[in-house]
Amino acid sequence: MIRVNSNRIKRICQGDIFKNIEYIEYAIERKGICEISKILFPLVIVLTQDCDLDQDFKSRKKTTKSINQDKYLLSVIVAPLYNIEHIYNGEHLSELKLKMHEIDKKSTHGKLLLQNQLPRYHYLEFKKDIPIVSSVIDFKHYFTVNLPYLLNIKETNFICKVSTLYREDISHRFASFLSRIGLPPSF
Amino acid sequence: MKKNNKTFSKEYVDGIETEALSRDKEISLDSSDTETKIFTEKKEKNEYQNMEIKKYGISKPIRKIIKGKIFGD
Repeated sequence: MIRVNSNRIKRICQGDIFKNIEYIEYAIERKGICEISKILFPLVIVLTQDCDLDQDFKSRKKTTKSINQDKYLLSVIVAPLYNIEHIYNGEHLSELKLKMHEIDKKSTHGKLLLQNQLPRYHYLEFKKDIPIVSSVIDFKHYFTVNLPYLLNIKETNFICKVSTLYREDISHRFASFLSRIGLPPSF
Repeated sequence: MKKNNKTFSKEYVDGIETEALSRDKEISLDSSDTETKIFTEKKEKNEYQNMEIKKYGISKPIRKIIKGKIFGD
């Protein structure tokens, strides 16, 4: 069970959980017709460093003109949250016509998932007053979102913020997963 | 009672199946039964999951493709 804070503050914070976030797959133009493909994610969590987000916010807020926009961020890293029951069935991306690996919840693999012992996944269980089912972050899935876009929808799409200790845990495991080194198979 | 519990657990695996709630009505609750407490907790959690799905609409990522004419330069 993780601790979260439902209080909404103005800026985007690391550990913020948003609902209904769009990811643009592509936008092409052919003979005057524009085609945009986007994926709508029910829930995402912000993974960008909190100090970077704080500096960006303060830098944009300054009434006096800054010398430069050195602290501005271009985008924010987010990762989707998937319903753990869908993860078990390997059906969490079925609407995108993707079949994922099934995980038997009674197997060792399933138990390790709940204990956050599998580097690829991070399990999150919320308190009852938070309207989110038990979820899993898959560290292979992440994307960036435009920061002003996220700020604009914070009022309506923000759900809660994962408290400091737990978000550090997520951040650390994410960084660790990304920095792993693939070694060639042994002969 | 044990048999009923198993039935419920199966529905709980599906999580989002609202059908599970209506089937629960067939199971009689006995407050003196120790298994009842476990059952009630699971039922509440299941109701909660369904409520969440209803509240937030989609539960899985979906793809949307938008096409439109470009006006102007």
